[in-house]
Order: sequence, then C-alpha cells, then structure tokens
Amino acid sequence: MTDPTDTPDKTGLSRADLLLLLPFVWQLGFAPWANGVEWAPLGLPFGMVWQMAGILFATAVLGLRFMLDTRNREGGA
Amino acid sequence: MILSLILLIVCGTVAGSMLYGRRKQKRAQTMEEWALGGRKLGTLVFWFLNAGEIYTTFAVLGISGFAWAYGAPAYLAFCSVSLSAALGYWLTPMIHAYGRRHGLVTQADFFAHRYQARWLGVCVAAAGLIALVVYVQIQVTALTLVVRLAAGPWVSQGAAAGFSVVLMLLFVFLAGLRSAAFAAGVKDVLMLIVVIVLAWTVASVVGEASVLDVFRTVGERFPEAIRFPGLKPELGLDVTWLVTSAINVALGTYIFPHMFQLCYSADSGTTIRRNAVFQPIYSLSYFFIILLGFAALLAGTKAPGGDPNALLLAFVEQRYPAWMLGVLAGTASLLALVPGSVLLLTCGSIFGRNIVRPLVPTIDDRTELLVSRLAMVVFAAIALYLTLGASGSLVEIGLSAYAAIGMLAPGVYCAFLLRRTSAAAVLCGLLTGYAVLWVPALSSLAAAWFPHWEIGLVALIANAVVTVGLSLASPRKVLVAQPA
Repeated sequence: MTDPTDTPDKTGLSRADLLLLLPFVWQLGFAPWANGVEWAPLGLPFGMVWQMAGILFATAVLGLRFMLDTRNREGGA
Repeated sequence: MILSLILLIVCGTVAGSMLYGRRKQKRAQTMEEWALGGRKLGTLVFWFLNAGEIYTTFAVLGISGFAWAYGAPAYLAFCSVSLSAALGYWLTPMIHAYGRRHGLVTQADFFAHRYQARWLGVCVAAAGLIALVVYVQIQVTALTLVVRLAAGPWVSQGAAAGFSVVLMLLFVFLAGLRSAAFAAGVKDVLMLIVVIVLAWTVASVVGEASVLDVFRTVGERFPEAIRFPGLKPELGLDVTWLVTSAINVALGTYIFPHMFQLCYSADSGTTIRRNAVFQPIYSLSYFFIILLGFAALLAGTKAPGGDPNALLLAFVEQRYPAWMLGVLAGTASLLALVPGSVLLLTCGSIFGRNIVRPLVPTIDDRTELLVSRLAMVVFAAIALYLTLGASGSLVEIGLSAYAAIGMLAPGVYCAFLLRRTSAAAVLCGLLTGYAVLWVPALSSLAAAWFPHWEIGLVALIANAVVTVGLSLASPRKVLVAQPA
C-alpha cells in the first residue's frame, strides 16, 4: 500500500492562490453594497447585474491564474 | 397531446440510449473516433452543449420558482458556479493527483487511504449516501410535478411520487446502465431549445415590449422583489443568507461523491484547470431562468398550492400553447431522470464497494453487483419517503443536500492542508456537524447565534473546528520512513 503522505504533488496553499479569493470578494464581499445601489443599468436590477459581472470577473481571474500557471510550468520544468 | 409528447420524449430517449449503448459495446473503436471528432466541434457548438449541462432540475424548476416566490434570493444561482470553480481550481487538481497516484476509485477510498483507516471509509461512504439520497429527492420531487401535470389533479401526491420513483428505477435499468451519456445529450439539447424559445417569446406573452422591460416593470411593480431580502423578508433570505449559502455551495460542490470521482477520471490536472476557467461563463444563462420567474410574477401566475416548484409548468400551461407545455414537461422529465439515474448508480456502487465489501470481505463479484442493484431500489425508496415528508422548494432541498455533504468537507480540505489530521478527529468533526444539523436543540441554538446564516455553513464550521482542534491537540504521530 502506498504511503498516504508520500506525495510529490503540490499540496497546501501558495501566494498565487490568493487570486482565487477575488471572485469571492466581488460576488459576496460587495454584495451588501450592490444590494443598496438604486441605479438600474438598461432597466436591470443592479444587484443582479453585479452578480453577472462577477461571473465575467471570475472567468478573467481564473484565466489569468491559468496563464500564470502555464508560464510557470514552462519556465520551471 | 401533453401526455403523448411527454411519452414521445421519454420513450424516444430510452430507446435511443439502448441502441446507442449496444452500438457502443459492439463498435468501441468507431465510438472513440466519434468522440475524438466531437472534440473538434466549433467553440460555439461546444459552448451551447455545456450551457445545456448547467440546466439542472435545481436550476430550471427551482430557480424560476424561487425568483417568482422570493425575488432577489434567486441571484444565488449566479454565485454557485463561479465560486465553486474558483475553489475547485485549487482543490480538484490535488484530488486528481492523489487519486491517480494511489489508484483510488471512490471518495470513500480517498478517506480510507489518506487517513489509513478502513472504518473511516465506511463512515464516509454512509455520509456520502445520505447526501446523494437528498439529491435524488430533488429529482423525485420534480418528476412528481410532471406526473401530476400529465395525469391530472385527481392523482394524489403520494401516488404520483411513488409512480415517479418506479419510473426512475425503470429508467436506471433500461437506459442508465447502458448509456447515461446519450440521454444527457438529448436532455441538454432539448432544454436549451426550450429555454431559448421561452425566453425569446416571454416578453410579448406577458405584454412587455422587451426582455429588459420585464425587469424594469418588475422593479416598478414589485420594488422589493429585485433586492434582498426579497418578497418575503420574514424568511430572512437577506445578504447574510446569500453569502453563507454561496460559501457553503462552493465548499460542497466537489465534495459530492459523484463530483469527487469525476476529478479522478480527468486526463490531467491541466484539463481540470482549463475547465474551471470556462465553467462560470455558462452560468450566465441562469439569467433566462430568472427572467421566466419574474415574467410569471408580472403575469400574476398562481402555482398550484402555492408550490414554487410547480411555477414554471403552471406559467407555461396558462400562457403557452399545449404543445409547448408538452415539450417542457417531457424535457423536465429527462431533467429529473438523467441525473437521478446517475446518482442512483453512484449510490449502488458506493454501497457495494465501500460498505458491503469492507464488512463482508468474502463476497464474490456477482453477489456484490446484485447487492448494489438492490441497494439502488432501497435508496430510491428512501428518496420517496423523504419526498413525501418534504414541502420545501427545490432550492431549499438542494441547500440541505449541500449541508449534508458539507460534513465531509473538513476531512477533504484537512487532507491537503493539515498533515497531522487523524481519522478519529475527522469522525468526531463529522458527528459534531451532523449534531448541529439534525439535533433540534442544537440547530435552534445555531440559528439563534448566527441569525439568517445557512445552517449548513454553521455545522461545517463546527465540524472543522472540532476536526482541526482535535488534530492539533493530539500528540504528533511519528511517521516512519518519511521521505525528505
């Protein structure tokens, strides 16, 4: 049987993982603020537009992180 | 008309699955080529197929009804996928690497191996089954709605639910065992067509000039609907509820046994990461579901018995031609049957592999297969029992499934973050979490201390505190032959 902690794979947290918190900050951290905004862009409720923009933001953040990971792997290995 | 369309869609899919399954067995090589060809699909087609996948029972019937009944709390849907993906970007490649390295098949294998305790594997398998059965309950609830719609109101709730479970089991044995992939594909395409047609026409159906006007008018006529705490402030579905529910969903998504096992089967960590980047985009399509819920609010649709789950079907029944209702109801049946059969199959295999085999090591493969098939029937019966007792919306049932699976989350996260976590600590945390969820005195205490919090997150935190606390308090285990 293989040893459970015998692993060369990356585990734990790294500094780059802080990036992954940003979608939480946008969609949850700013949710109380977004809920109070009266402005309705194109007639759409701002709270909903904020969450939809959050989805685009999350995609951008994850895309950036993926790019960084790919570059590191090419540079490191 | 309605009934025949439902039967046409469901029976057609079952027949297709059986044919497809047979062909797959006979001509595996050609199928592989076909699958490879599939990867060359244009980006737009690929995007649409994935967008179809995001339309689950929970999303289509649950979120539309939630938007109609409560308003803004339905925005939770927009947080569920993106935040799960952000967390999954970090978590899932580690699960993948660990599973590959040690040759694991199920989630219970992971716990048994990482914590070097077969009994923990058995406990985790049982815990996973509880959450999966609640997830099956969502599908049974939805299918019951369709059955009652097709058969008429003279059929009792109980009879319709019982019939739904029988249908689901038939589907498992006829189609699920052969090819869930085919049925899933049909479901995705049909659902996408239905949603596009409904969203395209809904503005004129409720007497508005455009989709944007639907939202504008809701904002004018129901100003409380478009922001938290929504139409029913007394329920406490405020921003605190949104934040805690969204965190709980994000933490739990990949802890579900079937999702966990999916991580093992990906071909590389890079593939998983790339998927995580593109997943959130699909969830923008929840916009159309919320649109339908808000349009029903403007139309003054009354769901039968005030049941928000029945809202979308009621709205289409009252405002659209009968054939549209038939197509929607048939598609909704697939929406419930396809994941229902996948979930029941997962239940059966977990039960056979991680509960029966460790307890009765002498069992042979044939008997194990038979036992796991029988177990599926039993799990379906439990889901039926839960459906009969429940009255909540699909979103609430969904959140309770996340609460149940969240109890396994500390064990998974600690596996990667805290090396000295012990099996005993994981079990103590698990029991603490269940106590917070299901011992009435403790859950009311939790509700009093953390008002408007999603109870699942409170239980998860209690669980994590116990797991981490006990692990740190216990003496450090001396690891022999630890590589540098």
